[in-house]
Amino acid sequence: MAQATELVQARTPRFGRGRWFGTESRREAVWGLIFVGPWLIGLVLLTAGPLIASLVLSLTDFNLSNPDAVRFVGLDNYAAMASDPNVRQGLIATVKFAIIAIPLTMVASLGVAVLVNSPKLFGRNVFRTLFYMPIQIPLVAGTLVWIGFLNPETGWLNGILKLVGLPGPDWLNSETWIYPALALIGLWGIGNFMLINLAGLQSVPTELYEASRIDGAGPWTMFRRITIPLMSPILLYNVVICMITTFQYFVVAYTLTNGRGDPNNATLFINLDLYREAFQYSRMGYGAAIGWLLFVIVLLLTLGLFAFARKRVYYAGGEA
Amino acid sequence: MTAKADPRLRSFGERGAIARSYRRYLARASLTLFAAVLLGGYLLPMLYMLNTSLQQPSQRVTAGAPVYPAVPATGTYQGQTYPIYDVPINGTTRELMLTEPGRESSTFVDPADASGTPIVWQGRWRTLSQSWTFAPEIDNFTTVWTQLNFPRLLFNTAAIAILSTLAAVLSSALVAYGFARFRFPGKNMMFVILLATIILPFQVTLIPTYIVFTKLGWNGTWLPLIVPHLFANAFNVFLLRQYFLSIPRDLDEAAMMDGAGPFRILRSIILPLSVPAITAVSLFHFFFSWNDFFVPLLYLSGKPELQTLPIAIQQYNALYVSEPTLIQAAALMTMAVPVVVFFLAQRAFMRGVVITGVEK
Amino acid sequence: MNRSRSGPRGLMVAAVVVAIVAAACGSSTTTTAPIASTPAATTAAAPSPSLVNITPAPIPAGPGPNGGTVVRWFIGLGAGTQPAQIGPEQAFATAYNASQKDVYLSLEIVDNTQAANILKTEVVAGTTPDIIGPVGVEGLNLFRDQLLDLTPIIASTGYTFSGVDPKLVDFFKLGDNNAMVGVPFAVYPSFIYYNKKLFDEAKLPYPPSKVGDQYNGKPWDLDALRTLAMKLTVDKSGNDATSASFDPANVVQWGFDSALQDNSARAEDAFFGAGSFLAADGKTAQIPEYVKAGETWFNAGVWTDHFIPNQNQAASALLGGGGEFGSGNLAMDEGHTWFTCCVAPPKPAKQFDFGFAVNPLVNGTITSPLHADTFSILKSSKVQAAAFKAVTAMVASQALLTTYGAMPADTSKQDAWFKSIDASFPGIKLDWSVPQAMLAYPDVPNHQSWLPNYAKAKTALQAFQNKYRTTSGLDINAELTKLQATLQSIFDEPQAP
Repeated sequence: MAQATELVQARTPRFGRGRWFGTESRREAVWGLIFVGPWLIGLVLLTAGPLIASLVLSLTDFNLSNPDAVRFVGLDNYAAMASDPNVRQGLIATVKFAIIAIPLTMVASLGVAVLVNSPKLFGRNVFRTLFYMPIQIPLVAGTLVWIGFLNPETGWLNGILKLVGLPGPDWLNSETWIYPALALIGLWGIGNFMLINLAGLQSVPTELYEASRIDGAGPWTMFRRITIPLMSPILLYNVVICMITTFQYFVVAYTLTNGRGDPNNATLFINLDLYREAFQYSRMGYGAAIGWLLFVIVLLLTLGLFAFARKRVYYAGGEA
Repeated sequence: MTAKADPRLRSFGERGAIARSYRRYLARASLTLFAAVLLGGYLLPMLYMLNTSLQQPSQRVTAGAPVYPAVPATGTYQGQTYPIYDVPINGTTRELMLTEPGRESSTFVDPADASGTPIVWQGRWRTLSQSWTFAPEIDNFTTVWTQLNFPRLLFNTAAIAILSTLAAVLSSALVAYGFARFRFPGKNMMFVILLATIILPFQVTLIPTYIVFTKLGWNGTWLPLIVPHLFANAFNVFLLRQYFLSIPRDLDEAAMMDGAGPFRILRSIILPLSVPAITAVSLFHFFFSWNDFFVPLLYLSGKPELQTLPIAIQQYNALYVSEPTLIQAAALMTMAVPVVVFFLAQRAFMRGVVITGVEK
Repeated sequence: MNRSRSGPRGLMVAAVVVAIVAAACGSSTTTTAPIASTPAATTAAAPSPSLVNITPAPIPAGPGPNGGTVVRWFIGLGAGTQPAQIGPEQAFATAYNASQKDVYLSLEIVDNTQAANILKTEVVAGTTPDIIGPVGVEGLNLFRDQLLDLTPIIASTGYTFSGVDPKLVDFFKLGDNNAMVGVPFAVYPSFIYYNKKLFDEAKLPYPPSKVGDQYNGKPWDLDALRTLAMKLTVDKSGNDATSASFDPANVVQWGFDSALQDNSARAEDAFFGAGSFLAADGKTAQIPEYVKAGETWFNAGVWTDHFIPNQNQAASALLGGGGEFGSGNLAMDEGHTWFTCCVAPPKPAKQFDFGFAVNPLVNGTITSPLHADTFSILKSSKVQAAAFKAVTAMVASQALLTTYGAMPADTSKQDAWFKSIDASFPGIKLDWSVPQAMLAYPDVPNHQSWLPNYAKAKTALQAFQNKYRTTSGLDINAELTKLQATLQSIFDEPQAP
């Protein structure tokens, strides 16, 4: 028990002063590079080329319908974004959605994970499977389910609201209700975050709970004092990934709202604007520039999150 | 269910113990009830989906039809089928076939009447009630099975998913271990670059990537769907790194004292302690690959014999013609394998791993 | 615990990983497997479990299995991706490849929602198909710069458009400077489809099937259509839309729509007349008169008179989730000839009897918006002669006409085609004189004609349509003014180089 408590309180001294690591830091570096090797090879062979190519494209007027006539335009695309109302609308819509969707996803996925991890729950393997299931629905089917489910005329949701005497909103066609509707649909996508949280919960040594129970701690205290700190690396992962994917969000909204960003551009998320410019309007050079703008924004936010997490995330194995 | 919590196993005579175990049982039951209610709400759209897949398409366009899959009562008259309605005539309600609907008066025939004498009823047939019988339509599933060459598609989808998952998990575990346990120059920068590869929307690298694969001659094969995963991807590496970092280093240290090298430590300490995370990564990569639509379509559009289930489902959602009952039936059939895989795999999350107890 | 040997072994594993990676990359560049050695139709039957299919197959270059030049045929910009169509398409290719040895036709069938993206990607990567189609004017507009002008090849091969009205041949001069970018394949005049069952229930006479005939002793015009449509709009208690007790919140049957018309104002209004959003100077945006009149009428039809379904009603299960006329709950639908694809009621309901009626008079004239389908060859094709040979076979195929429900541009083929459609509706007598008569009233300029910055302009037009179908009480004129300003800014944007 004492040992376990120590595990939480005291930081393990930095590893690497061991026999062959510490004495030969070069050898450690070689090992590190060997393990990272597969990714590095892939980066050089497959990923880096297209990445750099897209950056170069963003400095051109590359048009898909006339690829041979490409011209270098310097920073013109980036300058044009400043006065493009669609880019502004895209960023606003994305931020609005992110503010609702990220906290909701994080809280719901952790809550459900804790619930289905509880040994007190009967049939928890069934519960886990069923809570995970919606994310396994193929996109086209899932979209049609929601279109049908939310239809104000024959859908179930407004049918139920009517039964309890509430007016049913026009979920998909109202500029106000579309965000709650998308957040609701987004809740259906928490499966992977729930799964990751579930994996994270397994990394919390059970004896810590027992020790703390003997000290008279209630469930909430244990959750706050033990579960959250020990899961913090996993929670950081979830927040970072959720942010990255939310800023790239558009496919579900796009298929739900006639493939356009309806109603009245309320679902014109920045990545939809990118997609429209790059593919539908064939302006790949401009689309690439929007992509790189989005990249810089999200990268800064990610680095900010890491900086914020530096003091707050607890790595039992020490910072690498 | 543990033995302790089961009230049937209470020892007689110990009233306190009985009460305690009863209370515990009640607490578990109420927690389960709470979870069930929550789940019920959560899965309501899925019930809608299941319901759609079991309906006859015609039921969906019939005003006043019940919500559940059902067929209306019908009768036959002069070789034609007609719906049966409950018609109030002279104070009694009769079940009659509607042969000729009209706005203010309609003609009915009694299905029991062999002579088929028409009965003209004054009133609006739309206000009459119809009797429906619960009848799930299994044919939707058999249609999908035969029309889409389902076994072939299932094989393709599974083969691609299994190969790409193996590739992704193996490579990601190695790379994550490298990031989590070793110091080397440029590591932080490399990690940022790793994340950068998923921060940039894939739409802008799609065309250059497609050109690379085409130049390699991989177009029209499964290679673009599998090979890239041999080189690890940021989602998996990042998660495994986070998990590996939360494994105390004193375990590595102890193993090292015994002379274990990095691969042995990875294999005998890090991986066994990371079963939940490895399972999670495997599962979501498997499901991602299983449901991936655009990339397989892009590379396999000329090769129907190599295509996957999500591409085939889309055929029921063609321009102008959408078949909701078949789409949902196909989707449920597509999900069957992933759901079973998940159910079997989630045992990895059943027991908390006692980290400090290993190899000490 | 044993002494570990994992150091060296680890290195070996790593070496193996690197070797696999190198092999995977290296081998593919050197292998030159022949093209799709297995035509789709034959492999579909036998699920060979081997993974040999993973071996790389480069883009077809050499001769096909029948010794002919490989011609890639890209399907998905229009019809052709339903399960029921894929079989006949493959059968056509198989039969064609067996019938001659010059050309080997290789199919690429792409889901419609992604087809344009995939084709654009292929264009850039230089893996472009040779033939695209069936494709309508909308699809051609998107690829305007890439379409081959067929005039020289038609001249050099001596190909003649037998049986095709010369005016119709001109219709396919849709490219830059009136380039002929498609071989006439199918034409689709539009007219009114009506559900006879719903007319019988209301004891109403059928709408006229001859130009100049009256309806109920009055001219067959917009007012007659509106009144008729309102009588055919019914709520769940059986009140029609002309009744004071009609409940617009519980409609179960609608009188009229112009469904499956590209969700665009300029398409659904097109029977009001013709006109362009682009002024004669080729730069200025304008709102054509037919759209002003049409949208005012449609907006009132949806929100005041309730005989046209709004967006949510059209998407509801009751209207087949968008397949409005086929649901059996829409009495009249202004649709094109290809629309016989979509009149079948959901299974297992038996086919309801339906008929064709002529379009109503609007300000004294009839307009029948025209659609057309064609097969086009891309400029980038390296095998243009072989592709043209295949296209001529495709446009001549009765089987493909039937599969796509495509009314032949070649008048000599029309009777056979009418019979093939009749065969799918046993017991129903379709009056083919209606589409034939309507061919005389095409909309010129066509409602699908090209606009600058086409894809973006179309998005704006569709957004407008969506707005009025989802918003009650909209000031249509104010919205049209806004639309004009939006279109002007879209037209003013720099064009593709």
